[in-house]
Amino acid sequence: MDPVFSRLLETANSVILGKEQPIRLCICCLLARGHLLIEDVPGVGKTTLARTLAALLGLKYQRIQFTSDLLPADVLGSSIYDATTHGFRFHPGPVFNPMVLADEINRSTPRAQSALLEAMEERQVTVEGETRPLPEPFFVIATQNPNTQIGTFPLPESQLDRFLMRIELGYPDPRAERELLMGEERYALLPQLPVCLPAERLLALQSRVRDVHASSALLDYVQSLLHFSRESPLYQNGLSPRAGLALLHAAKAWALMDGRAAVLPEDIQAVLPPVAGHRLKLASGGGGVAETVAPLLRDVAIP
Amino acid sequence: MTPPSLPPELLRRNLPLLCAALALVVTPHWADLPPAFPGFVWLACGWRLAALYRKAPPPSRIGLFLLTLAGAGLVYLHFHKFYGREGGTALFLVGLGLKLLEMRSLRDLYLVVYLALFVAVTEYLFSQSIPIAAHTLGVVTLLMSCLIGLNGGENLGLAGRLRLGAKMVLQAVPVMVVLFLFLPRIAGPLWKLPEDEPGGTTGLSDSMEPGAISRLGLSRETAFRVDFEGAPPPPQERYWRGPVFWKYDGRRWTAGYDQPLPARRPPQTAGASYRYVLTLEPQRRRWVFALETAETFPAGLTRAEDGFLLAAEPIRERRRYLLSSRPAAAFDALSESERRRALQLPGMPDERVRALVDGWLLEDPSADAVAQRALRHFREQPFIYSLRPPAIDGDPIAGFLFETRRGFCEHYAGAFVYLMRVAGIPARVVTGYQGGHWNPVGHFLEVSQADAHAWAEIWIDGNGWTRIDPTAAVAPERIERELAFEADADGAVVFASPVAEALGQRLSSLRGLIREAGLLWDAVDHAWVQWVLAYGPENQGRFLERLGVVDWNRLVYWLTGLLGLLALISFILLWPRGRPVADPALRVYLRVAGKLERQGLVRAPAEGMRDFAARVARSRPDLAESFGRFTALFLAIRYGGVVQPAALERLKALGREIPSRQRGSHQHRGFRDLDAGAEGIAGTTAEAAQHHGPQGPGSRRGHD
Repeated sequence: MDPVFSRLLETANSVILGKEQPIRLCICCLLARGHLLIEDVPGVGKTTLARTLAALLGLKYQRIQFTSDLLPADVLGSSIYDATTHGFRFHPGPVFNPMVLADEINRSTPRAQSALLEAMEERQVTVEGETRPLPEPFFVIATQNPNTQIGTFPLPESQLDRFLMRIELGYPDPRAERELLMGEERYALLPQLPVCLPAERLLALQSRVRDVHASSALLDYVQSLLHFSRESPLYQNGLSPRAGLALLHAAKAWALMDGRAAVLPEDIQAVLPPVAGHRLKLASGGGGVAETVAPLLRDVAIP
Repeated sequence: MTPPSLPPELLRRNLPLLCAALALVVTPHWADLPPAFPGFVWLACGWRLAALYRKAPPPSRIGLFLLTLAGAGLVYLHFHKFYGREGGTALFLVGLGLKLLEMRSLRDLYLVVYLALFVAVTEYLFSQSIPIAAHTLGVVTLLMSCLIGLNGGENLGLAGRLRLGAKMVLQAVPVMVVLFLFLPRIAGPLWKLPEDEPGGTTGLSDSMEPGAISRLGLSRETAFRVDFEGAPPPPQERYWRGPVFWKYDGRRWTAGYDQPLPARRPPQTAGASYRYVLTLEPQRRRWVFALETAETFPAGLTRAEDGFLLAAEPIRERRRYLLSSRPAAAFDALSESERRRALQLPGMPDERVRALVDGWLLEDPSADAVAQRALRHFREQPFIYSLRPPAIDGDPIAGFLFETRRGFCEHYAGAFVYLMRVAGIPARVVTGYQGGHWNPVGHFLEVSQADAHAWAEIWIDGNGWTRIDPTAAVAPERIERELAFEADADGAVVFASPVAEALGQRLSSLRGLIREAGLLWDAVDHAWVQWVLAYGPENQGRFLERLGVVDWNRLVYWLTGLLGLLALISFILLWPRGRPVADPALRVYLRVAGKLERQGLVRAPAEGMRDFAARVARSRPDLAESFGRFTALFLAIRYGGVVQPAALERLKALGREIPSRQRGSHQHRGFRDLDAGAEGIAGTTAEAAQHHGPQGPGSRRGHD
């Protein structure tokens, strides 16, 4: 693995205990210039994860707490009359930060949700007729409570599609939990963290993802997966072309993190659950992510 | 005790159709086997459905075991063996029912479907008629629909499944026709088991005694069918010659060939000639029943000295013969040994017989006159034609002539020949068939076992052997009319009685309709027999000859060509997205993977090559290095865009280093480690599922 990434991961793992795999996926998502959705019950360390990443990358970070009375202007910013200049001055909202934590995104109304989601997609914000670009890098980590909880506005499929990955953190294992209980306050660790991957370095790496080689044999595999998801009676709807692009791009980032210049089928398989999990729905209705993607991993032969 | 682990949802979707199919599969077996066996399958279907809908428990393991024992016992009780046509089929039915009750997994469901297909085929051991063929098509369609239901057709409704099943069966029809026409036919019966009786349980026998033919008289089974070129002979000329009996021992008439008859020239023939194709049903004997007198016949047949045709061996399957016949006109003189045989009597005749014949001789001693006098005697005395003549004590001839006076053709023919011999006129009994139904729809003559007949031949100097049918004197309708008799209450058959006539008229319109339908069906059946069932090696040869195929080699070319074409078509239809392995590197990889597979290291189709290499390295450290290097190079070529030809050569070289067999002591450890490896993979997947993404062992290497 690229030493830069191993250092990044090691440091992150020292703060968030026992979550190597989600952290790795999280960095992969960042590298692929995608946005991340973390779905889990409160208190498993979603915010800590976001703040740790921001610290490690040396990025300015802001958190938006989504509530049912949140307005789009609270996210995007608004113009306020400035008496000194006798004119309106734009006060950028929290979205104008390189790293945004949209906490409990499904607690707000669809109006506020879509304001953020449009910004995520277009990487620019248009307020009062003026288009303003968002900073680079720009990375949104949204968290949401499971939809079964009270007072939620579930994100529609089209909005879910804008997140490159959706991951679940889950409870820590007993060993990690014991360490957590014994150790210091996690937030207290944050200021001490070194910047492992400065923003310029991150941007350079992001542009290298595109150059990772994907052979035609690999594209065959990706197409087989897409085809299977569309033809199989197991799924309500298949993976979209955008999902296919996302899958390939995430796999490229994953290969890059592994220090390779070419994508292997294993890379596809590694990123498939977080990339495809929220884009597929089993025909039977229920099923967690593992159950949803298991047929793809198990039944689609590598050509 | 052990509830089925099949998901009830799956059963609810598929079981009703499957049970319906099974019940239909064994329906024809009701006619061929004791009712216990098809009944058992029906019962099993009912039980299974009850278990599904009424939550009745399916039989426990112990219950199944007891049922198995009971089923096997029942088969043994009925047939005393577990093989053979009846025994084997019954055992299959029991097995089908038991398997239906025992279904615990999806695999069992499939097994039941395939077993049902097999059971459907066993029906052909009993009958090969059109209804059975139609039944097979229906059953195959139903079972096909079951398979569709099991293979992702859940979303289709019942009608949709059936429609798709029927469509698939229809699509298979062209293939079926091609295979039927071109697959080499096996000479010999296809649907007979070795230890079965040769086909045809009824038919003439090689001796004649009272009652032998009358038993046949009640059988409506077809004996043979005849297609004439041109008009058929008139009813009174339709004598189909079979075995001839010379010797009478006081009870039975037999051929009596202690010594062979002296060779005779065949009689000269004259008059109208008939050419016809005889389609003979299977029988136990070698006789081929030609119209009198057979003139030309195919090579495999011989003509006995007595004028009937013989096949080389018993006719165990339906055969067709092209024959021509013409009435006999002139015979060579009777030899001394023949005359002796034709006058043989089993001792002194009864006094009453002697007196009767002496009276006739006094009137006119010429052979012709005596014969006519005897016929008059039959006509004028109260003789009755009956299929169930009373038993006769003592001398059967005298008893018949003077006491019972009821008999079937063999009584009349036997008595007549006996009387002639007493009068010193050479005579013999001829058996065979007489008459037949003319089928106006199919334009052929159908001769059934009920048409079995016996008549007499006497030697008249100057004329030679002359046919005399004493039965005609008693019941001329038997000879001259199309057979139309009704059995009366006590079983005696009365021809054309006034009562029957009147009844017949009243019912004539309905009967005409039924008769019409019957004739049509006979015609269809004849066509089926002629074109489908009789399609043996000979007919195939003729058909292929017409196509220009005269020898086997050409046939093989034809077959290969057709099968190749079929394969090509299915290849194009069924594999539009697949391509042959075009990548030479992948070919090398698959070859090496094959080597590993033979050593028990199998890569799942969806397993990444690098993951596989890691697994191999864990379970077979001896291969870790060589296979690891090989895999790395392969991945570089296939996924990394390395295109130099040298790399491929190197890959091949590395591949050759992988041994194709495991060496010595590794054997045991290899297997154990393989299990561990498989667990490792399973573990990895489970872990991956928990953490959103399988982590390949290779990618974990970074941490180590």
